[in-house]
Amino acid sequence: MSNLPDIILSNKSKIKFAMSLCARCSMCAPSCFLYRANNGDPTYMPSYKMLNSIGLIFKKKGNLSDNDLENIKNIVWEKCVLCTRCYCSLGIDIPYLISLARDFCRQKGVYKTYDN
Amino acid sequence: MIKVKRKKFDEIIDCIDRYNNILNVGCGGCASVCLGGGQKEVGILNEELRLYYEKKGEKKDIDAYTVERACNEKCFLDLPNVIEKGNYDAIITMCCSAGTQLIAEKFNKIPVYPAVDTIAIGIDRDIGLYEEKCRACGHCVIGYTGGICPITRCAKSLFNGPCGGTNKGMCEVNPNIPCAWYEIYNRLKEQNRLEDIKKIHPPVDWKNQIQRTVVQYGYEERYVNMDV
Amino acid sequence: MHQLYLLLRGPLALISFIVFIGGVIYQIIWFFNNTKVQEIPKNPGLLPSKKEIKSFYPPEDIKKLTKWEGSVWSTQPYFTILTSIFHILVILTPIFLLAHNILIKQSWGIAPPSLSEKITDVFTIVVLCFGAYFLYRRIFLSKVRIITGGGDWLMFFLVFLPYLTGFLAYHQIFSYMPMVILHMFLGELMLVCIPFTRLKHMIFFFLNRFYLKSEYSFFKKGNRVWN
Repeated sequence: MSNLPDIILSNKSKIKFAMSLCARCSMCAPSCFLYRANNGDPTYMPSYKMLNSIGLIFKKKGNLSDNDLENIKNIVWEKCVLCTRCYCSLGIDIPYLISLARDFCRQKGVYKTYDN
Repeated sequence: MIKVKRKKFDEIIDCIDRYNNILNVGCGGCASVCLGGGQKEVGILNEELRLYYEKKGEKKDIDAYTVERACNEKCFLDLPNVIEKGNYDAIITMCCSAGTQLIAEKFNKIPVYPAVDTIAIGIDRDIGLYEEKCRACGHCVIGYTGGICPITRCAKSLFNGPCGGTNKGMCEVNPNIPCAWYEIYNRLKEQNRLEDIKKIHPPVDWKNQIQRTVVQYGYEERYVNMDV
Repeated sequence: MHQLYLLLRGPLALISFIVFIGGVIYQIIWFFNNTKVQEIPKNPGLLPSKKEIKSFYPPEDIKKLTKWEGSVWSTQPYFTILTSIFHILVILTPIFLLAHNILIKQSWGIAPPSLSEKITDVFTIVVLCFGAYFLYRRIFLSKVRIITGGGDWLMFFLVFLPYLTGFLAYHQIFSYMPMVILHMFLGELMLVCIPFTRLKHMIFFFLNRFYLKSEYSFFKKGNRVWN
């Protein structure tokens, strides 16, 4: 059963398109300054962040385990600052897709809290 | 948000000419978003400087590092280590003036030069095309002026209606610039709330401006002694 | 076996061509239906003059040399050059291969220009070397391995197996007939799959990078945005 909010559903064709177009070439990697600042940690690669946040949400139709949600939270709030500068050799708008994943997280109440 | 633009090449050369070991710091925040000072622009400037000095026959080491956000110490990533290891004579920054000042404060043994001008608080119209919308005057009036900022948009930053130079909806400073007050009037009229600019508001206290500190709404208790 | 050969040569080849071309046209129409032109908005401020813009630039010769700075040609030059060569060869080789063009002449009576068999043989070997290189990347480079999934292996084998079988068939290394049948089947399968699998980047590389508005659009002329 689909458990996706409207914002994801209305962008369904775009997400599906990006997921099937991404050729996993890894050329986006050095365009992310966080990737370089973290000594080439592949989990900072734009395509990895896209595929493992919005891609995972879409693949599992929103039915995510707590572990998945924790990973996605880490990716969209910690590993990406939405500087919108990622290069994609195929012209995929990665920042927009990650912002969709952020939207999903907000609606599920998955975000950073500063209580201490 | 904040829009920066690279300084003239000659000016940057002027700043760093006497140093040999330089670090160029970019910012992944606003400066990167406005294509003014992110990792890519840092790379471009460094390459241009390298070629320039190579042509002149001088040897200079110019390194690059991009922080997550230069206006917050916690987002400097590995910058302190990079600076400690690199033993740099000078730092050039491609972040906004605020970030540059924080870097200059934190690493106050090393001279810091900005390589960009902080232009405005603005909006993205297109890729690489930005429009100034706010001058951070600290006294927002756009609630009364139909969402059009007279400080930014009017050449004279007039608060209380147009000057005598408004001409068929255009500004007297340049006939290609629309008159802000003409637009304010039209928009308020459309929304049927012209009385908003007829109201008298207390004047803004422009004189003796000191550095502003923002204590955010709801956070006063942390910083201000409320009992006094 | 000869029956199978004739089937692959005749009707199945035609079907695969039709599906391929139809699929490409469908994807192009889909793209233009889902994007719209967005003009540059009118700016109330003043745009800088040419002279003013020039004053920000470094000396002309340096500006020329740094034209590609910031693009993939400078951040990862070797991989960019290699992958460009690979993509050009992988498309050129089958189009200008003599054996393919003889088949086209026999079927439809038109003879497209061909390269000599020696050149295309070298091209094929180069493509297969690239296959080994991409295989190495997919398995051993952590940044590629971490995002590699089933679809990528499908793409990989769809592209390289026709080349491998074609090479083996041409040099008659194993039994010729089964190899050439396998080659024809895999080649037709690849053609059919291009518009509908990850290989559709063949179409969308051009559409996305030329037509979409983005920092990295070619010649800065893309003016379409997604609906």
